[in-house]
Amino acid sequence: MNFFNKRRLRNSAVLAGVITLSLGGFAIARTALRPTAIHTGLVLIALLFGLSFLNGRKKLPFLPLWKASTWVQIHIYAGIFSVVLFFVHVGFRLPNGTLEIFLSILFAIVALSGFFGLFISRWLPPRVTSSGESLVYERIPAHRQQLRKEVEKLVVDAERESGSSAIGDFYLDVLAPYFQYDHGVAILLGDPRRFEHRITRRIDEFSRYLDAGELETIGEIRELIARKRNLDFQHAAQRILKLWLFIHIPFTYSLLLVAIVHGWIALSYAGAL
Amino acid sequence: MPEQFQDFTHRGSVYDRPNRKWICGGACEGCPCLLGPSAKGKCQAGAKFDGRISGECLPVKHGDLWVCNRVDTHGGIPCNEGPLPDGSCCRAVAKCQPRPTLRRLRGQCVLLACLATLGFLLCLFSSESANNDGPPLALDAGPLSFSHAFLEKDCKSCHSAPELAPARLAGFNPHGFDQRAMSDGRLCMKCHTEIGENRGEFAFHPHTASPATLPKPSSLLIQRNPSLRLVGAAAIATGLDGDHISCTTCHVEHRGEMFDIKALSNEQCQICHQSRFGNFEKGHPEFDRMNYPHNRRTRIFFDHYSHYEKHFPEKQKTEPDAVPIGFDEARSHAESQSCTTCHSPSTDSGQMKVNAFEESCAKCHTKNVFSSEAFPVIAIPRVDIDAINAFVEFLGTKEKREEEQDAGAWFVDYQIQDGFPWPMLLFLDKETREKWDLLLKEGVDISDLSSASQDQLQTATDVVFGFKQLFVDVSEGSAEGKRGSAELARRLEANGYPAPAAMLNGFPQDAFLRFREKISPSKTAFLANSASEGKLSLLEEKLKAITDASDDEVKRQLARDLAVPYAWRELVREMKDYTEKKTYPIKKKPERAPRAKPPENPAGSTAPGEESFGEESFGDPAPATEESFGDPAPAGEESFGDDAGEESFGGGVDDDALAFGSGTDAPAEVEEPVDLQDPNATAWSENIGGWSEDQFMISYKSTGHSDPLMKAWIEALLGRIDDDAALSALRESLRFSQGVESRAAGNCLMCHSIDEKRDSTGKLTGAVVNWHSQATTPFKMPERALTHFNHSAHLLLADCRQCHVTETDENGRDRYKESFPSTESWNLGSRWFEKANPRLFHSNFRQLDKGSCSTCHNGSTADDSCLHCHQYHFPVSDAEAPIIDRLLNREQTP
Repeated sequence: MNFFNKRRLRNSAVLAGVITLSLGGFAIARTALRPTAIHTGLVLIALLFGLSFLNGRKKLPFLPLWKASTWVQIHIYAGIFSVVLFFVHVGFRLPNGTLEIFLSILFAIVALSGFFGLFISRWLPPRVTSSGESLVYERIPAHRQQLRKEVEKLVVDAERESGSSAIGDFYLDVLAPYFQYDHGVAILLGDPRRFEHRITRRIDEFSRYLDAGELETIGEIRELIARKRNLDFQHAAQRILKLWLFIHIPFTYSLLLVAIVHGWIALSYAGAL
Repeated sequence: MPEQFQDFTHRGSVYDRPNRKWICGGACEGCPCLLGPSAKGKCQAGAKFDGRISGECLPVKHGDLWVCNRVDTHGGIPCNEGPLPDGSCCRAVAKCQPRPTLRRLRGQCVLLACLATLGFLLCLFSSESANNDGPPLALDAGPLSFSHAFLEKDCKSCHSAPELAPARLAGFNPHGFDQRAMSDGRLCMKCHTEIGENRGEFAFHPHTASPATLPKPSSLLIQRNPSLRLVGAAAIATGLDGDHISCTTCHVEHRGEMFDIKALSNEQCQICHQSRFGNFEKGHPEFDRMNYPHNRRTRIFFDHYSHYEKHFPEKQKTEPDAVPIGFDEARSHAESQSCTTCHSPSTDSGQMKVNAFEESCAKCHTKNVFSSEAFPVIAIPRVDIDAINAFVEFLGTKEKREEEQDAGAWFVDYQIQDGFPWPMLLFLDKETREKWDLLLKEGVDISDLSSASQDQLQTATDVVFGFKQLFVDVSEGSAEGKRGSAELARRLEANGYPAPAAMLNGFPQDAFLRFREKISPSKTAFLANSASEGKLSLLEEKLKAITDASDDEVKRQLARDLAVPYAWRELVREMKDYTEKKTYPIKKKPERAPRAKPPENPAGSTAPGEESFGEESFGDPAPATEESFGDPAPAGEESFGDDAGEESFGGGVDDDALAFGSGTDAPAEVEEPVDLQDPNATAWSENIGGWSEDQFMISYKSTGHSDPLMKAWIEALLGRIDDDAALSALRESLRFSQGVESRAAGNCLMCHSIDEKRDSTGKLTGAVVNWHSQATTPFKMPERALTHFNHSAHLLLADCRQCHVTETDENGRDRYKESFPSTESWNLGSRWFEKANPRLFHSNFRQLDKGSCSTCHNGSTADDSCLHCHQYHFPVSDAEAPIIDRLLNREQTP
């Protein structure tokens, strides 16, 4: 069992224990006719602020408050616990107040996006790693441009040497769109090599008409096609690894705002304020 | 061609700064400029630094020479052209449009989301509910339950502090929860007046009941069940400790119209209870431990065994219709299936009620009720008047007394011979009562004062004059300006009897006039005084009206009006000699008839039929020239009463009088024979009942079952067990110790049991009669008040005998009777109420078996939850009105 599995097992056990204790405490308090909604609400809003502090922690890297990975682990398991606590708080039913409905929708968006982020952060990185060279996301457009220039240079050189426009025409018809654009998140779904294979099949059909020099050029182009596939995969994967936060983080702040208002109203009517 | 895109060597890689908010527009083309965009996102291509224009690099000065400073990632140094003479770069960079980084875009999204959220919240707080008369949408916590739905727009009805104040954020008060819950709960009490005894005083106590009613909370909260001990501890630790359990502890609102706000789990019920309730079948205590359902005496004494084994078999031989349907002589009571003849399920309360007297008992016991004796209310007590007169004469103040009080001597011929009219004591003024009590305490009998001391004679004299004062005040009017039954009512109320009107309803006021006459030595003077003061009695007024009327028809009508309502009973009693004739002549002769000379009456009394309305004569003796009262009365003069103390109407009358019956002055002309009902006085008295006056004793006889006046008297007397006169009246006048078959006036109390009434300290304060078989005030039985059972629902599935098994052991059967007062116990004097404790009871039915319930109520066949049979709230009696009534009233109120 590797480190990550051990850590996952340990953290899951801790989470299960905390959830069990919390549900037990909730059951006791509820049976004792205590205002469990107030108690769970206070814990939940504290938990939400704690979860959101992960972002702040990343902005304050100089603080000696555990490693970022530890924070992420806390964030993940505390997030799961907050979902359980949310259901306990609302009494395992759909809320029916206007503000409460809005708050629940926000919580659902944040929670679901969090689970989505957790999923892709566990699913994509191994695939990105096995896909080929790991690239810096911000450099990928430049790499795509560089790759396109390289393949165009090969095509121009081949035409000059062979005096034939066959490769050039083939480039314009088939290869140029492939090198010009990427395939978006579609490349993450299914076999990421299917776009590459589609091009290489066309190249195979085209190669029978080429001479030895042109075939050498086509061989180099094949390598560039493979690198473009990695480039596209990396771009799509890293983009989605970054874009899910565009949902998770903004809605988290919305959630915090509405939760504060909800808590203010609830505590005011309950008499604590 | 390199196999890797990236070169992370210090010469082959640019320094990426992903935390920057802007990225060069040429980066996507793979040729970002060296300087990059400014912090504000502006392109810095061609920007001047120290007067030198930047390009692919910004040359540096080495000595006097400007040297190219281009980095390897942008072509390396030096460029072919080199820096310009002024130090500017010769290779200008094209301007681009910097692009925001993902970080900046995400920040913008966060800002946008926050602004949108704040805007949305602002809309929620500023917008009102759909119909513009409710709270802002932000405060819409969801629909209320169906019962409270009408309050949805009125937050103040339920929330004591509905206004939100941002300033409150600074003042967090962890103890405010309970305080607010209590203040909100008090708002609930405005509608739910049925919660909490004493008009909500105990609404926040366990079971909303008085601590005196239920066991102490401290003992309740001791948990013996380990699984619930933690819960109990949590309850105690967080404040659920007995006297401030708010409504919201159990009832949570804003959960939708169909949400059951009364739902409570079995475990929640048990956090305060000591016994463990795993479930009803296995954990619930046996019924015998709780004396369920009978831990009190039945309100109506009915011995099933004596009826089924003795009375019904006898009755079946003579009146088969009188026995219950289904009664089988061959079957014992334990096997009988005739329960529903006398019992029927109540649709509203779920109880098995006893059918009304008329349905269940009247066939056999009507005679007991109608043949009961009258009980004397007012009578002339027997007084040793000789001893008193001698004493007064001895003192030399007799004349003074007579002058002052105008009461005269005691009329010894009309005083009752046996016993004492105890209810009369209730009408005496306070001073007389105190003196009476003193005589009673000293063992002095006012009917025999031969051995009384001088002080006791003085006291007895005062008592006698107190009685006389009563007669005078009632007949003439008291200093308080009241007379007749109003004066009697005033005296009752002054003596602590709060509902005198019900006790004196229909009281024959005119009878007091005759009392007054009999005890006065000078009726002429009395009448003269009364007339001068304008204080004629009712009868006097009517008689005077007859005399003064000029028209004969008016006289006749007045006489008829007078005779029928006020003197009917007395009339028919006097006229019993004429009862055989069935018709009664009425004179119509308009002229005044010549006054006839009265016949000689050796006995000194007016013969029946000789009584007349003419000149009035009251009392005896009187000179013949004056108005005389009593006998001998000349014919043609009105006389009230004779020696027998009976009044008579009729006989010789003058021209403006109305004559009943024949007499010496019977009119010659009889014009209109009136067919009146057979005035059989005996039958009237025995069958009809009501007030009657005979021998100057005003008494009351029950008019039938549930006679309101009898009930009023009994309730009034039982309510004042601190008054010896009341107890004596109960025991001696009502004589309810005589048994159900007796003709005693108070024989209703032999079936209707009496319950003691105690105050909060346990002191006996009175007693109440159980007029009904079912409790009209269930809160009197705390443990039963929290339990409900619907007989109707169960009768469909089981017969009565499945649960109600009769006791077969003879000892057990007889113990039922022993639970009720016997003749001996009533004769214990003031200790009679020792048997008034309804808790000291032994049923002649066996204790219910819990197993008969758990056969079905086991959680699978039928519900076995706590709330299925129990309710939390203790019912109260002083609720204003049902909520729905008040709501309807409020709707109708503009």
